[in-house]
Amino acid sequence: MNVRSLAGIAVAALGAWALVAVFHEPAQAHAPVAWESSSQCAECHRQVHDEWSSSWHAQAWTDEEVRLLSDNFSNLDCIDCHAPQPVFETGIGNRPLARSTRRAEGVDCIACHLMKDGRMAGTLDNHTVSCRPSAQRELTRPEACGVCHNQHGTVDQWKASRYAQPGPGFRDCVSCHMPLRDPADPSKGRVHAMHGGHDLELVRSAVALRVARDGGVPVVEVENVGAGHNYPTDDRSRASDVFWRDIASDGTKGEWRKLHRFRNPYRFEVGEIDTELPAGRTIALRIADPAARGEIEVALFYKLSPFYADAARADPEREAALVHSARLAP
Amino acid sequence: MKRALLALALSASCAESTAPIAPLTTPSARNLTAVARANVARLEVEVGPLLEPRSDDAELAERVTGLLESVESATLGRVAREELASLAPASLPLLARRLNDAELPAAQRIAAIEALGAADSRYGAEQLLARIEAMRTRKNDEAWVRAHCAWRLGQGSQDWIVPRMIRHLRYETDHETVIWIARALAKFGNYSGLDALEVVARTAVAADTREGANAARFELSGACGFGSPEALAGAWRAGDERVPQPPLSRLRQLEIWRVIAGFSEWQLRGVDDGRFTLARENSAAAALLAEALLDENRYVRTHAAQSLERMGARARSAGPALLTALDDPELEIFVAEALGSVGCEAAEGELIARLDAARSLEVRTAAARGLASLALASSAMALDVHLNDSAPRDLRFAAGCARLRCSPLDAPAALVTWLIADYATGTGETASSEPALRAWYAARPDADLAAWDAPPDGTPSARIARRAELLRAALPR
Repeated sequence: MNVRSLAGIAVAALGAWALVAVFHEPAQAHAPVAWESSSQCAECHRQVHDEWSSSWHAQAWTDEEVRLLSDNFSNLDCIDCHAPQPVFETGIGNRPLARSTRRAEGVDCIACHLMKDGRMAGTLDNHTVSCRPSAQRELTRPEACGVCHNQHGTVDQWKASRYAQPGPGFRDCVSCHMPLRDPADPSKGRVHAMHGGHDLELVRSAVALRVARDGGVPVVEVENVGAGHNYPTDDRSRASDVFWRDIASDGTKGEWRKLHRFRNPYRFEVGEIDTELPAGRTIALRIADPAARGEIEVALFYKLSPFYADAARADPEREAALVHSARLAP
Repeated sequence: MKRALLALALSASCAESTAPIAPLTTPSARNLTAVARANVARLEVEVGPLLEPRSDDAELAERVTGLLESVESATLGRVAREELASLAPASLPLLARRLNDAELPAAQRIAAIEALGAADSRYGAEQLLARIEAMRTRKNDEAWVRAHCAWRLGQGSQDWIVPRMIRHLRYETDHETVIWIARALAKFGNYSGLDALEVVARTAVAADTREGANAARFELSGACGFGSPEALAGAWRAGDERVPQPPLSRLRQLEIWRVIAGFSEWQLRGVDDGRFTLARENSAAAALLAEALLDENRYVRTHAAQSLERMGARARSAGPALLTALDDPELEIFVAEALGSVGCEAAEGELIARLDAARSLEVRTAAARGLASLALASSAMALDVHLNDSAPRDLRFAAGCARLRCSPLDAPAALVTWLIADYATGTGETASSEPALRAWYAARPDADLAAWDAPPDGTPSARIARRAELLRAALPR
């Protein structure tokens, strides 16, 4: 086949394509749908809906602890973030406002995806399906999460970290909290379970615990190795405590003694200071107690609720989750 | 030719990918301006800046020191205190330094507080108020100093302290200071401290503190001509005209406008404090909040509407302004609820119209909530239409709660049973269903309202369980 023939075929093919493009009836746009519940999304996005249903976002209104702290949301201030209007409606970067309906669904599909024009923010454009997705880069940006989560400074903490710097080390909210279902095939989307502080494995990956002696004095190092924000982030509820105890030569373990607390206090806790550990930072804590000259065990615990039943005699093994522990010989 | 074909093809493919775009929410056609910022600027000019009196007079400083050192003297103490109170304004910064000097003996610091208060000036009151507010940044702050400052502020005439005192009351942990703040607020016709006094009277560990709080409650209600603290508290909440309401000074208006302007801030902490403060301000603040409904900033307008809603019947005067704001698409759901809460009966028709299926579910639900707070029997029929199973659940629930409050005696049994069941789960809209079910329960001839209204004795879920028991027992067999 010579060049002329090839060119002829190409022109013919292009002409045929042009004719199809001109005379083909465009795919019909789907009529706008009134989005009144995230259960509507499950009709097509069952997997995503199931993941979200298992998430803490889905329980933002019904969770027992928040009901207790807000007196069943008679503290109206809590509604702004626990049942927000769609963030695209109030605007990415703006503060969320409370909504009137489907509050039991908490931070739901509609809250994050519904746009002002009735379409759904997504990763592609398609006007032929009921949710009429529109590709919106803002959807996965930290600013979208920040409308609520930066009320506690989490996004600002990330911005100050090395993870926010462009380049190969760049990682943002979705990198850790909404990972790709299949890293080899991004078209399969991201996990919508949005794991965070309730996932102990994720918490464990955030920090490292090291113990050593310096002139016989135990020195405990805690390093924020994996979180792209403070450890722990979010004020009020989250806390992480370093405890230690002596171990007698016969293996008998002493009582846990508190060494340090990582926490940002809530607004009512007057005079308390913020001791969260920023991303990439290390804190070194010395145990000056003579009882620590022998063998000791050091442990880092994580608490979803900051208070112990008896602050003077805290029992971290019962009331907190063990993140890491280490033993140190005399 | 090729170029033409390519252009043809491209235009065809572009046409295909253009999705129809629904019109965006149109901003309000009302004339919106920077209302809050303009009022702050105007009042700042009118009242002038807060100036620190010049205090570089060495002789005066020596005199202040000498007088303060004499206050503990049995013979010279009274005279020294009187003289301190009559010193020139230039002494005030010197006295403020003594107030904040933790090394000084308590008697000298108390004398400094009294002298700062006796000046009854903007500067002196600012020093006392700032000392109280410092609690929020200091650990183990001296509670006795705060109590003295609060007491002294209640003796003066600086009413602009009210918004900041209300905000501080949200954080105050010392019971004695709470008592004096509540008294100081009452001095300026603000009885929002009565709730805190009731809590201290019930829960303080020390008997004399409980007695002090109770004495304050009875003293304040007696002074207003009410037979009991509960009667005064009820009248205050209802915006009863028998509760004295002195006019707001320009300085106090400035403080209120500053809070309103702060609604545009991004951080919720300050906004939460602002809503808390203004919802507890005097009725006269409602006029300022009503004006803010025309602010160009959406958040200022929204939180002004929410503050009016939380102010309740005391904000009745804002009804007409709210009714106008109902046409603001960004405000509609907040205003609908506020209209009911402030008791604007003229809004009934507009709210009923917003139950229509042509409106968004958000608006319909908010309108039903507004009608619930209005609790007018005449709304019952319009609400009944939305109680059937085909209505969206949120609307059906809100209309059901409203139906109970509007006409509890003839509420359908199935509706009551459904609302009780939802309430008992403790995970729904209990803030809506609780007052509705109380209205239904209170209408029963055998209602035990004392049991229903018993002070909280545990967690919210324990309270719900207790009340759900009462409700179930009251259901017709």
